[in-house]
Amino acid sequence: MIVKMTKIRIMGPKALLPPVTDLLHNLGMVHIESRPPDVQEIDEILLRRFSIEAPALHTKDSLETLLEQVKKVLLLLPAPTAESPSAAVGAPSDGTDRFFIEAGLKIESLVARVDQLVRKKKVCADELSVLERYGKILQALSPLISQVRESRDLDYLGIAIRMKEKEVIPLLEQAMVRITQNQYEIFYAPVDAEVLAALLVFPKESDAQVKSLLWEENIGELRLPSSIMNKPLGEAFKIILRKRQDLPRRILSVDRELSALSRRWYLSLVELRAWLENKISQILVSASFYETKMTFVIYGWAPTRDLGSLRQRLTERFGGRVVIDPVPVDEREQGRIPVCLKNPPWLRPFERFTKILPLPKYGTIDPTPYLAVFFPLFFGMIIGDIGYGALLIIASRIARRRFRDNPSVQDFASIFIAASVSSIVWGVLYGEFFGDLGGRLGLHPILMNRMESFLPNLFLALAFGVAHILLGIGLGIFTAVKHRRRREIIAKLSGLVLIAGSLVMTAGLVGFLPRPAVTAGLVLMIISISSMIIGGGASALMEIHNLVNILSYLRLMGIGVASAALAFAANKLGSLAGNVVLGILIGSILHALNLIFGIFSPTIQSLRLHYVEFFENFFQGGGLEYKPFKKTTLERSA
Amino acid sequence: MEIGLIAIGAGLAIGLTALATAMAQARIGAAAVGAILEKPESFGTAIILLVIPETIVIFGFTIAILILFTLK
Repeated sequence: MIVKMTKIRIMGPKALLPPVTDLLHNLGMVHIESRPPDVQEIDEILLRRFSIEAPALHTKDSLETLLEQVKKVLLLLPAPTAESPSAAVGAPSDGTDRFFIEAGLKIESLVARVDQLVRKKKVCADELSVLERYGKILQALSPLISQVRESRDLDYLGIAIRMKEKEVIPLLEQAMVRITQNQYEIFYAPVDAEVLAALLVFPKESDAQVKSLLWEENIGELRLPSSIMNKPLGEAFKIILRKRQDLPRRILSVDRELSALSRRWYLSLVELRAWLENKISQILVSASFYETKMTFVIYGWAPTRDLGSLRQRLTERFGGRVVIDPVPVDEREQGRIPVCLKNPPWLRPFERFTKILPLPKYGTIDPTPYLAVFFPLFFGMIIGDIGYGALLIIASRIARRRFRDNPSVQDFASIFIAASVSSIVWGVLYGEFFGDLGGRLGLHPILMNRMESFLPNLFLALAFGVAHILLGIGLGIFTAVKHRRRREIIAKLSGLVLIAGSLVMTAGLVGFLPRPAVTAGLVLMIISISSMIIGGGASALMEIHNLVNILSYLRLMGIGVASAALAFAANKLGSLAGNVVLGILIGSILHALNLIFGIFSPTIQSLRLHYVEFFENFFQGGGLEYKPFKKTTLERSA
Repeated sequence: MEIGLIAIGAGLAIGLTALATAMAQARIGAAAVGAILEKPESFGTAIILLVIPETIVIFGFTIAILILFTLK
């Protein structure tokens, strides 16, 4: 449900603004309103926007600079792990700011050290990655280098030739004979199946011509890293081999130092970040306050049920010097009332689905409870298999246990447990356990066999569609009545009659009702369309769309049958294997694939039926999220 | 002969609508990915838009079922 909100005004002497701000920050109940329309019209001489004084602005700038540095270090430092936890923070329990100020003073040297270490690691990692690229070629060439006697008059060049281009080798040798008057040596060493490494040794005076030849023939010359480019090839290769052993050790040493710094500082910095964010938000929020010559005025929204405790806390702390009053809500402010969803714990996970769309507007209906009922129902109806449902429950419970600290996983696991229970119930009704395996073990359908009773299944899906759409229209009528929107009420009522008329007519056509029902249904439909146009205007004709929307629920049957057919196919193919172990393996793989589809497709389809067909009748999105002015806690900050 | 025609009719009903859905979803999907990259909060709206054309193939499927089970 959407929590009822009250617009409030808090007033007091200006001297009390800092402690009042601090108390509101601690309580975390008030959504500060920065532009109440009634205030805009008041003469600015009497009531003007609070101006932040220069020293506070200066403090804010300093804190923001510090916060940037803290964020930077947190980004660069490795997060502490269970094996290497961060040390106790040591923050004073009395809440004094001194600890954080002192920590702030140390941050500059910490930033510099961490930055230096990260840069050092990056240089080492980059160099290592360059050397790794030459790794195989170097390995192949290193025995050749030892064979070559180094001389001041000779030059060396390493080249890499692709095996598929090795027809270039005779051409290269012919050209080398021509360029060096046969004063050259070439050594080959295969690197792998694709590359052949070669070492060219030739007189120094032919250097330019040889390089030009390689360039013309498009042969890759082994270019050494800049740090050793000018060294003789033999010496360079030795340096490279030594570095390839040395660099990982240097990277490890940097990692160790970063981990040590993380253990010492990480959690302290997380606390410091939360403290800085809170300090900055306290300064910034005052820009949304108002002031007269002697008093401050704060406008905001608070949940109506919290108003009493808010008043009590202000009175306890400030006596009668600070007052809080409810303020009438201006008509223009309807769209600015913040929306806070509050549901019982068992419904709360389904708020995840509600929040995929923009929040519902204040004063409309929170669809969460309806999602909590119909999502598992539709999901179960599509999967409809005891075995798949049981596996999904096990998977969801494992996910819940393994990701205890992840609220998203906890919520989605709860949703899928509910959906899986529904799948098991529908599985019992359809008599399916991993497809027709249940039937082979003596399980019989209670409601219908999905693979045989296509038409009854089709009518069942349509019946759920009619019920769901009618509920949606009913909720739409409720909202329209609440807001006294006469045209909408007429349109939606006409929509109800239209569906009733079409149902009566269809029942007459297929023989469920006597033949005159066709005429009666047709008359009802004509009346409803006429009343739609007369009472609701031309736009009310959109309600006719609900007839098409009902047909959309046929996907419950269609995708359900497809899922069942895949399960049956898995068993059939498994039984054709002719070998028990192979059969079980084939069946298991196909069932696993079907289960993966079975999670994704029914989720999307069930949600779609809600978002497109059901919500269309009553849901009004665009609500403003309730964001109370409250302190950043370590959990939220982390 | 008649059974064959019925089967072809049912096949066309599901096949052509599946093609139409695929064509529509391909375009919407490509646009949706672009939109989500620019504005990650549009994921919910993108998913809704993406699955809207599926109604076409569901109708095709229904027609195919009706052809198969009412014209026999």
